[in-house]
Amino acid sequence: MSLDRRDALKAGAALALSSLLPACATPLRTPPTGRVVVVGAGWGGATTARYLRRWAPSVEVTVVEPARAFVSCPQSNLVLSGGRNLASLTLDYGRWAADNGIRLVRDTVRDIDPERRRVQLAGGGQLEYDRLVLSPGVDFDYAAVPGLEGEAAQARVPHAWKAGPQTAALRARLEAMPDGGVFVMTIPAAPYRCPPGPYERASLVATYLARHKPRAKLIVLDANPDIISKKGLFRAAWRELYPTLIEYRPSNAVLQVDTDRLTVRSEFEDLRADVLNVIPPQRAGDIARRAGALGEGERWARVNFIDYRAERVDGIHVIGDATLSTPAPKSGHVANQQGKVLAAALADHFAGRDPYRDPVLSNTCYSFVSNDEAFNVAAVYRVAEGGKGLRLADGSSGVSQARSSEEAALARAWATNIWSDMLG
Amino acid sequence: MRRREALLHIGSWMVTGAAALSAGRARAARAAPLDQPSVRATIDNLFPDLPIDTSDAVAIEGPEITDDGAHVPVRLRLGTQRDTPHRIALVASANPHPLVATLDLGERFSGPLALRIKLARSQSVILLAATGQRLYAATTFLKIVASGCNPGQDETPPTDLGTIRFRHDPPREGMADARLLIRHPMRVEQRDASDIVSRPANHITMINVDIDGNPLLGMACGQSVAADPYLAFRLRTPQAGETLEIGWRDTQGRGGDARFPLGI
Repeated sequence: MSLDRRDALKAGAALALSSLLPACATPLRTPPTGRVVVVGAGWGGATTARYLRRWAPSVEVTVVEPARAFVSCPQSNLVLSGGRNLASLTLDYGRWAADNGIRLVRDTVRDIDPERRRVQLAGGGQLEYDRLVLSPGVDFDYAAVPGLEGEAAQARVPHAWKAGPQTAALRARLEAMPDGGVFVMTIPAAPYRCPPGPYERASLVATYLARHKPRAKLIVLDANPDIISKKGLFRAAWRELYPTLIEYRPSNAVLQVDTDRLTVRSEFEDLRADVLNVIPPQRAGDIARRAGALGEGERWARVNFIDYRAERVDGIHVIGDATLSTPAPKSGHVANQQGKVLAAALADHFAGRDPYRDPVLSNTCYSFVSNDEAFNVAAVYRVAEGGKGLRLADGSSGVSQARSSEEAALARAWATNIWSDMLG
Repeated sequence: MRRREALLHIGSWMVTGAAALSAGRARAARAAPLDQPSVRATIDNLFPDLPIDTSDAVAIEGPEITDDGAHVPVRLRLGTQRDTPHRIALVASANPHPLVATLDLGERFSGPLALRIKLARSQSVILLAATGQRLYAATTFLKIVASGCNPGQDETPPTDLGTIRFRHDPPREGMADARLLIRHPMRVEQRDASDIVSRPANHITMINVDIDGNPLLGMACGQSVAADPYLAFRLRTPQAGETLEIGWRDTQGRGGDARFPLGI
């Protein structure tokens, strides 16, 4: 862990504290200079809304979000191992909107009319915008996993890839699993949300099994040809901590599931599970497609990385997991950073300035391999080719040398700080 | 020339001829895909005298962008059932060894064919597919983030090196999806500062798949085939009682084979 990053964390915490100053919460007294609607109050949307209010106090910001509370996907795998409970990952939106001068509408978006710049809400309301920000995260491509179509089937096989009731459901199945049973999890082909997440999950399911069901087995079917993030660190952790528990089988995509019998047909084998956890293939949250931000047959929104404007439709910006930000991962940290870049670009837009053309993003992904050991990968990204992509800043990427309890503590601090940065 | 001999001939050309092409690399990237020296050489060596057809009868597809150039999935569409090519070649125009692989295809083979390749950098990848009368050509530009031609440090071969996996799905309308995988590191050669090979490549050179002795597929592999060679394709009318046999050989003289009953 470099000093630079620690300093950055401290700076983040200081920033979060400063938001408690009443100046930020001043409601608009004069007519707004612009109207921005943000769809989704997750890592990207909440950050955009909060920083836009801070940097462009005369802009009216409306956030559409159906949930009462934010639940963090990062560190939700720890619920499976007993290292955290869901309550510790849940932040009620509570006074967030009022404290930040944001209008929070509890609803979902039914339709978007980019011509008239209007958002139709499922509850019947309508919102007008000058700029629309979509931060919808991912939706699951259930059609790619025959047998998993339909709500009944999905309820029997939790993905737990969006934290909340799904996480609790998977933990309950783990608890109910017989000792000597088989836990089968499947990993979709990249890109998907949180590249190291499935390997962290395998580690933490193994943590639970080693303690409570020592005769059980964990089989990981990976559509990818190998562990795609922090490979050496995960391999070492599995070898040293769970030498006989985890069976990792790469190049073995799931082809079909039977959710009644809990069987899986993969590219090379048939398996029966006592607990089955299919992480389905993913694509941009559906509203991004309906807004016209995706091309025919594309899975992710195309944006310009200077101001995240959708390439295919005017007046709409897309950030976070719904974009193809490669080489930056689909992570909460990256969505948070993109939210700030976008907030600055929108503040510039409403002030009649050009956006800053060389924004810099950072990313940190901590992964736990037990309840008290973790490691990280961190990197800095810059804009490439006039906004057409992101690129790794020269020499900026690094991973931990080894797992450690110190990093587990830092990982928890990272979460507390970044949640406070977006939802303070 | 018999099929296996033809493949062996191709294999030796891949090792000797392909290296000589690397001089033209920098120039090559700017030329139109079919005019690049590596593609011209492949055509001259493997498919002389066939008229070239760049219609969309065949196609090569891949992801918009791939993080790890060591595993780039590509999918080859190989024309209609009636007009399936009998020999194809795949060329990664800007790789140090551009010829990725050549495949001879038997009658019961059907596309599309999916495999994984290594790319040194973002580049045009060209599919050449010969029927009796024509050479179809298709190209696509594949973007990668990290180079896939890192020679790597790990010298220990996997304990299950050479393990062969195969499976086909139940046939539908006489066609069954099939896939095979062979565990092998497929290590590229390492060159020192003066561009002399300091550690030779270690990769599978040949994969042969037969059904009851009749060739289904013969693949000559260069070092640009990704680790753990993986092929997914379609098989015409697999019948109970038939046996599929897969064999491989590598640059170190190792090899292996395995037999799989069909139709179950």
